[in-house]
Amino acid sequence: MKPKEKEIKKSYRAPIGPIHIALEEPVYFKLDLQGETVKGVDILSGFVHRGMEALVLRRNYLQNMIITERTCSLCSNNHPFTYILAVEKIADITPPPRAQYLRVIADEIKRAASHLINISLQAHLIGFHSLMTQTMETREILQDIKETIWGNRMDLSANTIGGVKYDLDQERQKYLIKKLTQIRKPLKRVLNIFKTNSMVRLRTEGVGVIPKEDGLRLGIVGPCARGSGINNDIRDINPYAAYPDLDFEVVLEHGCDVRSRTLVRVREVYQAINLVEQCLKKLPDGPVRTPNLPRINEGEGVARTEAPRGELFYYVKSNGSDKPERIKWRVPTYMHWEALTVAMPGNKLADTAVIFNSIDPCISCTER
Amino acid sequence: MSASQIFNFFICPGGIFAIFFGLVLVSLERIAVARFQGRVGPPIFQNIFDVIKLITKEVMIPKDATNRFFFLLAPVFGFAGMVAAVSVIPVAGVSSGLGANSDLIVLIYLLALPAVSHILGGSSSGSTYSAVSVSREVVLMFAYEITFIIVIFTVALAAGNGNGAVFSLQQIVDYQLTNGSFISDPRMLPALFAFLIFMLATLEVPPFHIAENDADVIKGYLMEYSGRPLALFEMTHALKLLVLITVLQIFFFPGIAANNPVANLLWYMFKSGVIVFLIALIHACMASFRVDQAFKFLLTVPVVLALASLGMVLFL
Amino acid sequence: MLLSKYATKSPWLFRINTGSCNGCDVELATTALIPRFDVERLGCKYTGSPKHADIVLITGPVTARSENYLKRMLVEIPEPRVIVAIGICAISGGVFKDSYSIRGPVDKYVDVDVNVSGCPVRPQSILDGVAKAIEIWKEKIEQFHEG
Ligand code: SF4
Repeated sequence: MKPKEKEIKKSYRAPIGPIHIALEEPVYFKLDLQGETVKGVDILSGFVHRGMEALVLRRNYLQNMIITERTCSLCSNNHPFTYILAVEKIADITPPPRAQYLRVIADEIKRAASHLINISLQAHLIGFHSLMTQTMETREILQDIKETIWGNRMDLSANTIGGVKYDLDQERQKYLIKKLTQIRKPLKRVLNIFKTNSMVRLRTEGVGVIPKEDGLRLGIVGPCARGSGINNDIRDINPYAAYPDLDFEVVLEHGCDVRSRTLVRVREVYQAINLVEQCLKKLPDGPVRTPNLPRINEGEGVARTEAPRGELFYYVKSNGSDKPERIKWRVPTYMHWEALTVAMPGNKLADTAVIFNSIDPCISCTER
Repeated sequence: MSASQIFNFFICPGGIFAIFFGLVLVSLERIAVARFQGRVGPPIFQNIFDVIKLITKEVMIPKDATNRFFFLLAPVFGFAGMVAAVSVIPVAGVSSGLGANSDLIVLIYLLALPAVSHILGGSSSGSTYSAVSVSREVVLMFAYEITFIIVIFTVALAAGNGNGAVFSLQQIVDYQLTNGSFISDPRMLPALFAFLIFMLATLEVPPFHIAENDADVIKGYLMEYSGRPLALFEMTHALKLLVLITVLQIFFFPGIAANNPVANLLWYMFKSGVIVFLIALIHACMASFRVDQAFKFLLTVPVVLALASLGMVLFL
Repeated sequence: MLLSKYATKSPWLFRINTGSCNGCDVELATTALIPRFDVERLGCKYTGSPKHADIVLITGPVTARSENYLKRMLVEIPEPRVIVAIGICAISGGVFKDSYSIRGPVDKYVDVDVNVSGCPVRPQSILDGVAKAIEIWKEKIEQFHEG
């Protein structure tokens, strides 16, 4: 029975946003609806355009580490990190081995926190408020770690050109290990609910499908791609920092729907914790950064890393002065925009927010 | 109207007491949900503060409201309906309500009024979100009213005990007071569950948090309301909760504590608190359906449960 | 006044994002949701409709594109209300200050009552800011009903 179609025959356009409680960020959708079924989507963007690519040209290389971090606070470690990798390629700097491991630690802690926020929003959007608060509470342990070790709850400022800005002494390592064991239990509970709860399955299974072929065609990346069975984890196929020495398996799910994307994220939180623990075990001694201030010669450099949302790509061009000549970055959400036009049509209005959240949109990265 | 009836209507258990108690119950539900989630939750009089606050606010009428008159009338409509409903229903051992012979039928109509007022207000406010939310409310209303009516017939027949149906709430209470509550009657258990599901659906508690689901339609039909009209909606919601809880008690466990109205009133309040607690428990551990899923669910599970009871009452 | 005393126990919060980097928004969500901070115990509730708002939390440096939406939203929020600017971006423009597409900061458009600084703000300072906003709100209610 299709009761709604009897009530509202005509198709109409429903605006969602730009300022909408379900969306973390301002973005404007125009949905073509027929009854409650979505026929087409139109996305208007630009609400978070802050002109960052122009701004970075006016700052010097060291200042840019701060501003790239403010591209997006959810993947705030990866932006300066990738930028620094690109700059290091130009300046031909190899950071000391200890720094490589510390970079991975910062990266994975951020990844876990970012995934947990996405998962908890997912729970919120399907109306499961208790699950949301519990996931958030679990994430709070990671926030504590960040605040204790790096001194800020979101923007870690962990990396610098030629190394990292922080060090882990014995005490902090112990603290980190203690907190990581503490997080495992609540995490397991949350994962179990996502895996087994029938209401959660009802709302997420078969919703917002991005088939593998479409995924490849649209070039989706990150957990979205892995939820459709595509392995393009940069940590695996083009490892950087200390990832070559670490032992991990790429998480893949084959459901292609919202549920498998969520499961990929949940499992990657585990993976992140494992990776941090491995890093702590293998952590070599030595300095955490190169001793001198870097000199950046003329040249170009590119770098890519696996941000929580997928592949992040930076291109830096230098003309030998203290300011870059051009910085260009490509962020994962950009490809996922287009994927929405595959994922959304045919679903119900009530699911649009769920689907939108499942690509883990980072509008402030995309529009910068 | 006798003095006691006027007292019952305006002060207790109708009128002022009902509004007050209803609002406290809503807060109680919020507190219980918060506690289940490990939070502290709001103070117990929170919803009363909310209403006071809304009275101090400016009233705004949207520019593109399709009908200003209905826009402002709608909340009054639902509120009046619920005030009437409160005065119709008896509270076991405290007051006898309207005492009319077929007040159960009146109740069916009155209980539909809040939803109708949502529909009226939402569709005249000219916002897309309200329109979507209203269409959902209509869909759900069709689905859950069926359950309600079947449950009512079941209870009426059970209270008639073979001699036709009894549509007087007071007589249903009296029957149970002499012959034992229906909750202890295994034939009525499916109807009890059906009624609980109906309650969740009318109150829009998860798993039926659909028509004003903030994930897509934000506040739904309440989107454009502010100030006093919104306060009326809040009070209507509180009264609706109270009426439903009272009806649940009348139908299934109207038992009284003693022969003293005050003690009975306290007992009634205690029972209401327990029911709210139960609702909060369900609220805290459920996700929400999508509207089409909810429609299917409401047309099958509670209806089958209610029919099972009806059949058993008729043939056993 | 008795009315304002009880009315201020129920502040409903409304959040406007004018192009922030997410940091402040996520911290707002954290403050609202997690058991440790739980704004509901102050009687606060997040609402999705500007018409229900009492305390307006604005994040972000006001980008060119969101300028109009901010203006429109501000008209829809009924008096008496309190405006809180969350984060350095909203207060001064922060790192984005001299960009071509920034029209902010927020106090160009509306009188900001409370500034909560930090990049991102900490939940503790958000709670502090909300508490200050409630004080100001009380005065505003009294003024509103006198004149
Ligand atoms: S103040 Fe900082 S954290 Fe907050 S929105 Fe602005 S840049 Fe982001």
